[in-house]
Amino acid sequence: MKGSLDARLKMELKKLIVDECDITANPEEIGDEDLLFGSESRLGLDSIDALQISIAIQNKYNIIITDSKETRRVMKSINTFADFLQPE
Amino acid sequence: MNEMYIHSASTFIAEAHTDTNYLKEEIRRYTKENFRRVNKFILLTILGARQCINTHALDADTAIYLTTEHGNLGETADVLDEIYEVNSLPKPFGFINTMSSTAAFYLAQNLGVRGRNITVSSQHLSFERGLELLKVDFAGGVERSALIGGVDEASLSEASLEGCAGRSWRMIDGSGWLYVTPEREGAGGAFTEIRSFRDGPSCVRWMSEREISAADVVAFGARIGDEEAASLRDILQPAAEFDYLREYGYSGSATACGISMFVKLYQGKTLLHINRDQRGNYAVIELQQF
Repeated sequence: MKGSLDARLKMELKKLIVDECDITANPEEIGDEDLLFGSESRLGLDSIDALQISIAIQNKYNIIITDSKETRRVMKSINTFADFLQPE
Repeated sequence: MNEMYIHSASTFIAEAHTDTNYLKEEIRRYTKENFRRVNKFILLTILGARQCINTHALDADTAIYLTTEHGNLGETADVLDEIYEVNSLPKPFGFINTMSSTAAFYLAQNLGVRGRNITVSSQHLSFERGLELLKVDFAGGVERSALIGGVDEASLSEASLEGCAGRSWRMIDGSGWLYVTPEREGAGGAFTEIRSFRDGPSCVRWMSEREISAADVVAFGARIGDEEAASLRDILQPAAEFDYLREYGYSGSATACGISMFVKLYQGKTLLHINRDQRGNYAVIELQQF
């Protein structure tokens, strides 16, 4: 099953982002298509958050995100992130 | 001595293992800023200092002198665990906060001040050394106002008491702060002495030879043992003793907490605070409340 169709995985990611990035938000409030990074994003995460998340992902799922371009593409939203972790 | 006038003082103490969410809630009473990527040491720093400043309007060039025994050492230990125990890359939030200056940086940013920003640590005499530095900077006209404080977490403080046989206090998270300027107007008290000695006898000699009358209240730092305290009491004959360690508990920054607490509790009194480090260096702080 693609990650974007896996509700459990997506909630796990939302919780991980809230915990790792020290955000005062409820994981349920993060929409699957919400932008995670940049000034247009409600969460307003930045490159340090991206690094924090990528190390947490590496520790938890043993998956390495190799470069910053890939990080930006993968972490665009919860759906893109979940599809990266679980392609099918 | 060029006097340093105390315009405000505050102490925040909490039981060991106080939750960071509680500290964040407390900070919201003073500032709307939402602090992310910070650890407990940074939160204690911000909370204690904000409590001290409260409604005071600070000049943009106000300096920050943060004194601490252990600083961000807890965070550093966690990061080293990540690297060597878990074999992981260190996470950036933790890694950034291993730098000793982050707490004072966050505080300056929150207060909107751009003055000198210093973190001082000197085993068992950190607050005293910070105060000496501030005295020199005031005397040289380098600084015109400063926030000086001592901050330490309970979890790291117990190790400082090694070698203090028979002295045990409950461990606390402590953040004691004073807002100090060289201007008397509006001040509630002043530091009238801050003096260092290479050994106990020279400290005792200085105290015995002082021409000014004895302090109303005496207080001893954590490394002054019971016997030594008794002999100092004989010399000084104080009217009262402020045993802040027994009453409020110990953190690595107990001196800063005790002194800022004295400012709050003892109106119109003078305090002589005597402390030493494990190498036998002594430091005396005298302050007068108006």
